[in-house]
Amino acid sequence: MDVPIQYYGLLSALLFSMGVAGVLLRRNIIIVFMSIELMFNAANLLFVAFARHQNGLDGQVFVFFVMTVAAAEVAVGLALVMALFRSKQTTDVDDASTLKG
Amino acid sequence: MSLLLFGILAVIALITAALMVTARNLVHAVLMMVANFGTVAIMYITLSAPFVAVVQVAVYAGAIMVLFLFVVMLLGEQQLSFDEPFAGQRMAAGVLGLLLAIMLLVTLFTASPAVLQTGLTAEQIGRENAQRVGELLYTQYLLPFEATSILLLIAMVGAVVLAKRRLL
Amino acid sequence: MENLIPLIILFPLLGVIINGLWGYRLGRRIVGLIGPGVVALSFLVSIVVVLGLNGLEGEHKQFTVTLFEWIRAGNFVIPLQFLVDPLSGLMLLIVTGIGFLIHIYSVGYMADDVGYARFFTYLNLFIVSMLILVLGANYLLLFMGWELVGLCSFLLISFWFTNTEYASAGRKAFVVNRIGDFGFALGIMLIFVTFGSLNFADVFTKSETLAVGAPVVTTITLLLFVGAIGKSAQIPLYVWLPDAMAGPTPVSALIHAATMVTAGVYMIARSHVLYDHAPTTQAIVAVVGTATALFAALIALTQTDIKKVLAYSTVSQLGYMVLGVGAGAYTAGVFHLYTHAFFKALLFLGAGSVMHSLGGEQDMRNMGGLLKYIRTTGITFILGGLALAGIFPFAGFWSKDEILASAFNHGGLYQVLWAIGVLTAGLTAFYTLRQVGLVFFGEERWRTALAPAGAGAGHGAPVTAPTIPPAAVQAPVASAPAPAPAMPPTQPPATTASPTELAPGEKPRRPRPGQAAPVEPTIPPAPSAAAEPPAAAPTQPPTESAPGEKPRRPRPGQTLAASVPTTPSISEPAPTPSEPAPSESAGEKPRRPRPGQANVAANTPIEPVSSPAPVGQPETPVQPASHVEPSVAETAGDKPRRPRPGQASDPSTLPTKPETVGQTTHETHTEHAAPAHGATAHDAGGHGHGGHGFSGEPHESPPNMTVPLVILMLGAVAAGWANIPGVSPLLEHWLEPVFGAHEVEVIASPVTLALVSLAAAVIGALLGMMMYDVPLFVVRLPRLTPPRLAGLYEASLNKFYVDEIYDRLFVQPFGRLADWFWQAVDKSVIDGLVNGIAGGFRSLSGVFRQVQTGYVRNYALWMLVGVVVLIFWFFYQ
Repeated sequence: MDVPIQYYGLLSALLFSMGVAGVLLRRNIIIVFMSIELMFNAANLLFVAFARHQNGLDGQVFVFFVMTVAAAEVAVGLALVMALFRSKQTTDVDDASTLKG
Repeated sequence: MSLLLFGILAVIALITAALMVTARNLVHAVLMMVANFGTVAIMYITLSAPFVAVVQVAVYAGAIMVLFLFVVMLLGEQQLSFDEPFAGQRMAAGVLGLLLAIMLLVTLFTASPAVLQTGLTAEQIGRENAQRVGELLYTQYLLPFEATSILLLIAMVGAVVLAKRRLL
Repeated sequence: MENLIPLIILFPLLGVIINGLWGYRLGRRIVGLIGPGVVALSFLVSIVVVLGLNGLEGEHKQFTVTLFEWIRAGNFVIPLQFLVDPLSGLMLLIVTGIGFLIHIYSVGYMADDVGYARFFTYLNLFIVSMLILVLGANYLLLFMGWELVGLCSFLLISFWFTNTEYASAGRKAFVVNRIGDFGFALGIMLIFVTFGSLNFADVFTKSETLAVGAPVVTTITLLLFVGAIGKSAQIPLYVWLPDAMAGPTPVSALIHAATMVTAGVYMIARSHVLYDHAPTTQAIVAVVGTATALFAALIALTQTDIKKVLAYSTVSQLGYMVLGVGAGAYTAGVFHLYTHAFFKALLFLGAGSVMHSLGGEQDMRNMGGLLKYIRTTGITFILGGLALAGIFPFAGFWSKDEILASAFNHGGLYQVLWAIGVLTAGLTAFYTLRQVGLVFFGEERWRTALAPAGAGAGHGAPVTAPTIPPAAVQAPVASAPAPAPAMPPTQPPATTASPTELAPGEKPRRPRPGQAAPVEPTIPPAPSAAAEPPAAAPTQPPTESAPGEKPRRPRPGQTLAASVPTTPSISEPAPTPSEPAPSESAGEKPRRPRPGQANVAANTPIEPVSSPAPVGQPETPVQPASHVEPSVAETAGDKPRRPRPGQASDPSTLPTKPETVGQTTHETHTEHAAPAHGATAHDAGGHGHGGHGFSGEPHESPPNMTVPLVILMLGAVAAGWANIPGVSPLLEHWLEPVFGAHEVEVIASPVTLALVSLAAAVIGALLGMMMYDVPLFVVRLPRLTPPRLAGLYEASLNKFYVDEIYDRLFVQPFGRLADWFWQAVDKSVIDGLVNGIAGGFRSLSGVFRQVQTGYVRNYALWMLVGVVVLIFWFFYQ
């Protein structure tokens, strides 16, 4: 219990911000995906840190759920990437802009 | 010791994350991500959460990484560019990111999170960790657990349908 | 006993459900069994109930059964409650009894119609509705039945809905009835406001406390009477009833003569307590009734459509009933309702049978001498007519006389009404006997008027065409005997292509058949026949060219072909055809089917050769026709019932003018063929009715049609004996618990009054008989219409232009108002508002859509903005 909780918070915030930056700035859809995973990871880290901080287990259970959802999301997301690539021959998110109003 | 360990791990995590986000090669990015996740898994162990750490390695470093690599290989090697087609995207991202970071940090350092009285010590949490988490999962969190299983099933079906060459 | 009452309604309802849901799958036999069967069951239960009622005493003579509470809102409580008392018991028997007979009749009459199951569904539904109306123990149930019978009436009038004109007749009935119902609904509301209940018993008990002539009672009764005016077809809302004849004949009999139209009378009789408290209303009711009786009788004098005469007669008789209830003689009014149900149903069904025998013909000018061909129908029809005419000792005499006597004894104003009533009785007798004479006596005008094939095919009008194999087959079959070579060239596709038009529209312009028929045999046969062909044949080429141009017009060529098969029957007396006379008349009026010509066609097999040759000569005869025809034909097709201004000029262009008709009495005694109008009226009902084509010889209808006729005839003869004053006042005694014993001061002896009205009826009847060939009297009067009366004749024929006046006064102004609302309000204001809002949002969205870049990363950026704002909001507010 030597490491102050704030340090974990700081680390988590930095990782999260990197994830955000990746989503906002990178154009490759797989990188974008990984950035999202990075954000999940940052959140998970904070969960576990707080669980430890509060001497509880619920945070860990939560992480478990987050991971499951992330796994599901990756499965579907990568399938979407495949579908996108198949129809547009690209992995660039900017090329998929049919939602344009 | 633990502070030192935390420092080393934190630095590694940050560096791998930064490399992942800025990678020009997709395979490198995936490897950086795995490294990052591995680092975080070690951090979980220091936080007396061995079960989560194992799951992290199994799911992320195992399954998800393989999945990513698989897709990357399937789509083929490609060099990624850093051109920014949108005017102001970087600027806006920078400003907003800065704002977010400031607010998070201020929150982080001004707030003093309460410590709940769970009746457990740090050691207790770390020992028989998997057993305790399992107990919680199958008692208090049974319903979300079952819901998650259904979610996974749906995701599986969805992935199959989406990845099929010809949609139904 | 009370438990049986719901069964009376449930049985027909069961029929509705079965026939309505599975009718077309069950097949005609079963539908024809279920339809009348359920009504028969209902009738039997009704008899049991009424017998049970008979066992009760005096004031307690009624059954009430409450099924459940239907509506409850505050103190507005409506139970679903049925009431059987002597009045509704009598109505029960009339509705189910006569309804049953008419169902039986319909089995035969509608046998060939596609909508067989639908017809019985509607008919059963009507019985249900009428029973609800009659049995309801409160005004709301009465109103419910009232509206339901209106619905059934609408459905059945426009039963052959593919015919635009029938459909609009149904709509007219519906709309006109709604006007009346509006008043009725207001009346019911006022009743609730005044008495706090709609239950008959409560309302009548509470109304006893009101003063006689209290304004509120007068208002209520007047509003209720507005409803009766609509439903019972009184002036000024009677206009729908004649048009209602567009429906199948059994419908005319059941709904528009025997039951539904009497609902107004029933309602007034039911509310007699209220009416007794409102002498002003009573006077208005009586005056309206009398005026309607007279007015409708005047119109009926000149109508040429067999059903129209009966329709106006119904309006007139309803006027009598209304006069009766208006004079406070409720028993007399209900008595007339009851006898009228018998004889008018009989007359309508008889008329249906006559039409059946002539393949759907409705124009009386094309009938005549039918008695010896359709004896059962004829005799029953004549007896029914005598009942309607009010001849002693038939049913109509007793009831009509009782109404008139009550009116006379009421004194004052009512004695004037009595005088008018007596006059109307004379008119009634006259037009009834006129109808009998035109249909069953005199010359057999149908021989020439209705060419078999044409009539057969024409009859199978649009609606029924597919269903009638016999009719369709008829044309080819009939033409088979004709010389084969001649047929194809003369008549390529016409027989089948547009046979519809042949029969209906044209009759009026046809030269009087009477001329030709009798003359024929006297002419020497053979030699002239040889000379004739050129003369007669030339008419054909022009006719052949006609079909393509004017499909609506009957082509002489067509009639020609049509008449070929009949030739033998027509020229029976002199086997060899006689040419001169017919061909002469043919020159004048080409549209008549010329028997002689037919023979020519038959005799000269090499048609094509002779046809092109002498074209010049026939030109003249054909020409006038083609000029006049189109306009008339058009009007006939469009709005037959409503002669438009333009149409009025038609008669003048016709060879014979209406005025001349009035003055010159035709030797042949054919009723003059009115302006296009009469023709169109005929057209209206002409085709469509189920069944058989006219095969050259009128034939009696099947037993399931004639048996109801006979039963109804018994009623028409004897129903009146149920209430002979002083001898057998059964009905009066029966209804006493409802109406109470009305002791009226007797001013004149009933016998004297009866003799006066009988005298009027007899005079009318004698005149009718003498002028219209009823061979009971040696004296035959010419059908003379004095020149001065020609205008009146014309007016009567055109129904006193009421429809036109309404059109001008209401339909057109409202149409213009609607147009104005459409153009000025709807299109500019409403549409402008709606489109404006839509347009505003559209342009706004044009701005907002710029936000949607379609780029995921852009959306993520916006998400981040949201996150920042949210965090800011949560922690730093």
